[in-house]
Amino acid sequence: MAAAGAAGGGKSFSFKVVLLGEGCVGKTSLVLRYCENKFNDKHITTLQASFLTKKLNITGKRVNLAIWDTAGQERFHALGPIYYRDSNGAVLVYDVTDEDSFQKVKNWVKELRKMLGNDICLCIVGNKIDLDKDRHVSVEDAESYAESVGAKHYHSSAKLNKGIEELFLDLCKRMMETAQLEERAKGNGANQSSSSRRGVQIVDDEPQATPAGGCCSSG
Amino acid sequence: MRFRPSYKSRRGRVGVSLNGGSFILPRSLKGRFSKVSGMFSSLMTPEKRAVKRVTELSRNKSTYFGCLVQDYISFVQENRSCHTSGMDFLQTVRQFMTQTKAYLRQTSELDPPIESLIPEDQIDRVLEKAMHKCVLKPLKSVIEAILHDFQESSGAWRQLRENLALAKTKRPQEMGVDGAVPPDAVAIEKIRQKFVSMRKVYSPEKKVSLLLRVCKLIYTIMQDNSGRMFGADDFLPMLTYVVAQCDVPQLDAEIQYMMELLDPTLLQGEGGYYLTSAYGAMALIKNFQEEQAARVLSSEVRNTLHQWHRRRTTPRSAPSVDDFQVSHLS
Repeated sequence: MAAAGAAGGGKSFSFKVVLLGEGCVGKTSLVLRYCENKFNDKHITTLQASFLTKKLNITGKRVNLAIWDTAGQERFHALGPIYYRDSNGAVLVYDVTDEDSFQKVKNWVKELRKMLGNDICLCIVGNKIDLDKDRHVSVEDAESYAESVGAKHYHSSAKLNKGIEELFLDLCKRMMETAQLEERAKGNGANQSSSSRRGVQIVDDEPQATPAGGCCSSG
Repeated sequence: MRFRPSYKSRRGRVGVSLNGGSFILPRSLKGRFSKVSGMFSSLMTPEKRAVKRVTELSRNKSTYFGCLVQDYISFVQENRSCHTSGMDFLQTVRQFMTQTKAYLRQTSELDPPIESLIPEDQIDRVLEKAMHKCVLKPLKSVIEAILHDFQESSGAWRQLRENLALAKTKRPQEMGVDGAVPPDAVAIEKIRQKFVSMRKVYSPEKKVSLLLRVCKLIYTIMQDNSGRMFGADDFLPMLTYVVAQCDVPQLDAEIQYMMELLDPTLLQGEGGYYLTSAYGAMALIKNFQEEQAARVLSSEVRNTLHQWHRRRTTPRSAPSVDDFQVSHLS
C-alpha cells in the first residue's frame, strides 16, 4: 500500500503526508519552516506553502515526502477525504493556547482511524509553545490522548523553529517501518506488483480487471 | 475478457540506452524532416521514436496490440451507453491504458524493444504518453460527449450551471477568502482563457500543467499583494472564488477527465494536489446551495454543543473552552 521501493535497485520511499488542523493553528508556518529554502525548482508553483516536498536520507534510504496542506475552516471539512486518501501519514496540528483546536484534532483522528484504519501513521502536534504561558491544553492530557489512539505527540514552535525537524523525522521512520512491514506481509512474490503504487492495478488476477468490451458482458 | 497474449519469456537482452545525452531537434527543422520521416527517424529523440513506434503499432490491425487498441476504440465509439456513470466509464478507459501498457512491456511485437530505446526508469512515462496518443487522442471527442450526456441526463449539468451562476454573484469573503487579495477582472479573464484552452488538449498531463499555471497565477497575485506565502487555508477559498468567477461549467468534466485518466503514479505529486484542490473547489460550488444550508445546520449543532459544554463545565474555576472559543467562532 505504501509507495515504497518503487525505484528499482536503490531502496527509496515516497510518502504522502497530509497536514490537518484548524485555521490559525500555524500549519502553514510549521511546514514552511520544515521545508524552508528548499523549494523544488521542478515545481511550477514554487512560491507557496500548500504543497511542499522534502527529500531526506534516513539510515541510507532515500525518502521523498509530499506534504499536502488542507484548509482548516469548518466549511471545507467535507473535503477532507479527497485530501487524505492514500496518505501514509498525517500531521495533526493544534494550538496549545486553544482547546477547541485540540478538540478538532480529536475529531480528525477519529475520522482518519475510521476511514484509513491503522495504516496511517499519526503525529499530533501542539504548536505555539512559545506562548506556553497561555497554554490551555495540558501536556498530560495531550500526551495520554495521543497514546490512547496510537499517535505520537510532539510540541513545536514554528516561530522559534523548535521540534519540527524531530516530529517529521520520527514520522518518516514510522512510515518506513509500516511500509516495510506491509511489504513483508505481502511476502513471497517479490514481483512487480509489490512495487506498484496503490491505485495502480496491473495485476492479472484482479477480479474486475475487464478491459475492452468487458464492461457489458459482466453486467 | 482478459488479455491472453502469448507472453514471450522476457527478453534477456540488455537494454542499450541511447538517451545518454539529450538530443533536441531544432524546431525549424522538424517540419522538413517529417516529410522524409522514415529515413530520418533515427534523428528523432529516442522518446519520440518509441512513441511513434507504439502509435504505428496501435494502428496496425495485423498485430495483436493493433487489434486490441482499434477494437477498443470502436467499442467505445459504438457503445456509449453501457456505463453507469462518467466516472465508471473513465475508469474503464484508465484500466485499458494501464493494462495495455503492461502488455507492451512484455510483448515481442514492439521491435526494437522499448528497453533498447528508453532507460528503464523512463519506460512507464513514455508508454503512458504513447497510450494517450493511441487511445485518448482518437477518443477525446467521444469521451467528452459521453461525460456530457451523463451530466445532462442526471440533471447535474443544470444544477452545476445554476450553482455556478449563484456562486459567481458572491464576494470573495462569502467564499471563505479572508484577507488575501483576489485576482481582478483582467486576471480572471486570463485564467478563464486557460481553462478554455485546457479543453483543447487530450493529454491529462498537459491539462494538469495548464491547471498548475492557473494556480501559479493565483498565488502570484496573492503574494504580490501581501509579500507572504499562503497555505491551503487561504488558497482553497481563493481557488473556489476564481473558479466561480470564471464560470466555465465544462471545467467540471475536465477535472473528472484528469482525475480519472492521469497516470495514477502522478496523483501524489504537485499535479495531484492541485487537481484535488480544483476538484474540491468545484465540489463546493456544485453543492453551493446545500452547503449554505449545511452551514446553518452545523452552526446550530455547534450552539447546542456549546450550551451542553457550558452546563458541564460551570463548576470549574479554570477557564472554560467557551472563554477562548467565542473569538474564534464569531
